[in-house]
Amino acid sequence: MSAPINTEEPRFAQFKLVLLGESAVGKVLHRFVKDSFDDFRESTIGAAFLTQTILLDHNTTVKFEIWDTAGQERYKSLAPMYYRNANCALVVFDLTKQESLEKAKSWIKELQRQANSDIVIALTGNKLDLVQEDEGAREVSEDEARAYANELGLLYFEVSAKTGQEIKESFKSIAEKLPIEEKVNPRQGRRSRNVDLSRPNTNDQQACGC
Amino acid sequence: MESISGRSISSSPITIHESYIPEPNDSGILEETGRDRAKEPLAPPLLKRKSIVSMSENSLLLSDLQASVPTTAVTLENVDQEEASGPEEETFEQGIATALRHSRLSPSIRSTRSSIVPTLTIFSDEEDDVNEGDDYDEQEEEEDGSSQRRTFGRLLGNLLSTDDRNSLSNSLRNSVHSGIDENTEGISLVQKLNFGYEMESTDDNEDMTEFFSRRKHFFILSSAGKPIYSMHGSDEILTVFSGVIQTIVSFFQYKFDGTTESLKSFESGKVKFVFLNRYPIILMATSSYNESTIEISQQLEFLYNFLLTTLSKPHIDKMFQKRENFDLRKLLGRADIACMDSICKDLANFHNPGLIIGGLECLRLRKTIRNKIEKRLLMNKSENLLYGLLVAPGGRLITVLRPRKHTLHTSDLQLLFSLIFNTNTFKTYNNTDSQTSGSEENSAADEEFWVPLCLPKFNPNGFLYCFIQFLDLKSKELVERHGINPDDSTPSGDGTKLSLILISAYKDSFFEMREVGKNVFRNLCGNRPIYRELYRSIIGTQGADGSTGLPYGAVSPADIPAPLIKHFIYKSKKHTQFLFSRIHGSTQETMEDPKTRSQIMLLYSKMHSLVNTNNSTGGGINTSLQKQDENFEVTQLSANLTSSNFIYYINWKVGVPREDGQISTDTIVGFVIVTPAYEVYMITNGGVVDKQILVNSCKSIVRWCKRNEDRLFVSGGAVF
Repeated sequence: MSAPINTEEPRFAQFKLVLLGESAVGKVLHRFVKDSFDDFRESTIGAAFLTQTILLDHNTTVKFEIWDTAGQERYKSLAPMYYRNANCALVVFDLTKQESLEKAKSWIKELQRQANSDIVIALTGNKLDLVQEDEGAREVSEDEARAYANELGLLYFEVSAKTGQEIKESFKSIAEKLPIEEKVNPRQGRRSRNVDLSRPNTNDQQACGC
Repeated sequence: MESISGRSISSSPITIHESYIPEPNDSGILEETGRDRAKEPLAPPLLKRKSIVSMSENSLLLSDLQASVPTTAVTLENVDQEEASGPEEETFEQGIATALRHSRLSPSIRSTRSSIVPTLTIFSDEEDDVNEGDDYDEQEEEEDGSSQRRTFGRLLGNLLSTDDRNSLSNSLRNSVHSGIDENTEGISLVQKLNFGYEMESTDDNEDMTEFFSRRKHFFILSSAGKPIYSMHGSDEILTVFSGVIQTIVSFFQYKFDGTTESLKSFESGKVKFVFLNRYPIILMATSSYNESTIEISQQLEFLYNFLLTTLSKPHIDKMFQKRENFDLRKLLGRADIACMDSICKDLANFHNPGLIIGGLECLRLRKTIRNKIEKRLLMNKSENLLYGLLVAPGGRLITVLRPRKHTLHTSDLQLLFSLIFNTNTFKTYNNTDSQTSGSEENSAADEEFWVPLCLPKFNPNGFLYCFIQFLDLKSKELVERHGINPDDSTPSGDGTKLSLILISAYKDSFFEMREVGKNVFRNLCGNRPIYRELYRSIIGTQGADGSTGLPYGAVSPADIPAPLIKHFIYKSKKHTQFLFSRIHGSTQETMEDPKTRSQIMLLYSKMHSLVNTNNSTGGGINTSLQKQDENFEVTQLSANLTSSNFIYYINWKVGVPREDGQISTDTIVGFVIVTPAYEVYMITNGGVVDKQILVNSCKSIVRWCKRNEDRLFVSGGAVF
């Protein structure tokens, strides 16, 4: 499945990432992709697709193809289409709302049941800025959420989309956890390879996670 | 259209809220829309009124939605339509029209037929296309054959000199002949468009006084009385009023003999209450803008269709079948609420000319360029692509890619555009071009959207999937590549973005559409004539010295030239598209100023409601009445040739705040000409109006628009 690796040459890997959870997740993404925060922007309607490239180390570039899904109930039936071949998922919840964690948990269950078995899942608590300002605003304790994440073998981050705190770091950690060696291909051979990866229909990998 | 309660509200046990309906009096609360009008002394005999009303309803764009959605009582309108389809001997009366009887007869019937199917002609079946086209060609010949035009010219002249003979109100005579107080002369229309209009906004305020002070309200609730949405007020207020509205609606719904009917509207003082009952959803609006019931119903219909767009009819039905008192808010996300907010704001502030005039706005482009664009769309079409739309900022259509057999309805496009262009979901925020840090993927930061939508007119039962992508025409790369010098005075941000909407019936065809989109944009940007024309039309004309002029896309009355006319809207009924001019002598900022736009559109809305409630009899010059509105005094004159050819002349006296803090009275004159082929709405400055110049200007506009039809409107599109 993987091309031979030459560590001397620049390495390029491409991954599919899906954002799920509370409807404000889009903001996390915009912080990551555009390094901007828009207070006025409401959640996504439908889903937004975008790409972002990060430099992991001096010769490794990781390109994320990101699906930003609207966290709404009525789009739930479309969700499988977005996470079907995803390599990683960012499940976002609101640190100031306990029920958003419950929602996140149900997404995680669904991912573990339906998505690729080797999907890297990161449970991400948003609105760190609010919590840091006033610890009383926190409804989800870090210990509790972290324990849950550890138990299921998930990554865990607390971030602020508003200030950008920890966002870059979390994406980097995700990238580090991804099987870059497997997916990497030399830059020149990139084009054909990428097209394959981005197709949602190529069920070349694990079809069933059970 | 009017389904009416036969009962009087005087026996109604309901009291809504004491301060909301001040002192309900026995006679005037429940307006039985049609019949009430018949009581007015000016109204013509019932038969004639009926046919005229129905004729004008037929020319309404959204009104037929009501007929097509099966609901309770539509009997009245069926009767009307049957009548309307026959030749209307009744409306042909003596006077100016007599000589025109024969030539007028057929166009009026045609107008009925063509407007019953208010599909954009370009989207309708090819066969229809041909027929319609033929019809209109004939008509044009008729008109070009000068008889009609000459008649209109004469009629206009007559209309304006009527006040010589009739003893009209002084204000009108003043405005037409002797002008107004000297000291207000020279005030531009832009300055006059400042008659104290307060912009409406949405809120979730708990304050009841605040709530009751609003001039416009929209409510959506379920038939079980569960709140869904309100434009103003907190959840608590909405909950209370949902119960009240549901009670009122159901009180009038069931008659003793077991039949049902729908409460349509009633009035209390200056406030009009309009209902739309679409089981399992009830919508209600209140307005104190003196809008007609038909207009408010259309607005409600639009809002209802938006609900269908996001949720689809079967989905809504299923939820309510399961549980009568289902809370629909569970299905609506923040983005949907924000969308409804922006639609309500648009409706309350008269911001969307398309919804008022009925039709789509189009981007003015050279015909060859439009054809080239269409060719490139066709070239890149893929298997699962159903429709493609290329749209300029502000929802101005550039062209459309469509299959021969399928049609897209104007109101569906209006919904789609208001979703894309009026909500912030698709808007750009701080455009950071420093972003991409030299990576190959320059478009890395550009989002592409995949939005499931139900287009109710296309198919209320299923979803289509829209791929939406934007292209910034002013991006550094493009501007440099095509040698353009953008300067700071030109629009920026979302005002320079081309949008491409690719619609597919398959939910997993995103990547296929994405490929199409990529190729289309590459093709468009790679072609210098296309790019430069789009730039010229959307952003600004590029002078030889590198300076940028006003965008070619916006026509000024001075371009025609049409002296005296300060602003106009020309609607081609054949295309269901309209041209919205810029205000004479205005800058880009003025045109973009929401308040100016609101005030000018308020005037157009008033003109349009005259057209649609045209209740005078055919033949000759008639009706001059004075109405006292909150903002201004209205004097109007109308002349009908037949029910489908008429002219309105409206004189508004407005109070304009002046620099010294005083308020001076000023006039604005509105002018409407309606024929089966087109509608022209014009605004002039008031003051001294030379009849002949005005008449000539009107003629010039009509002639100019007809001559430039290929540039102004999309006809045909790219058909595959």
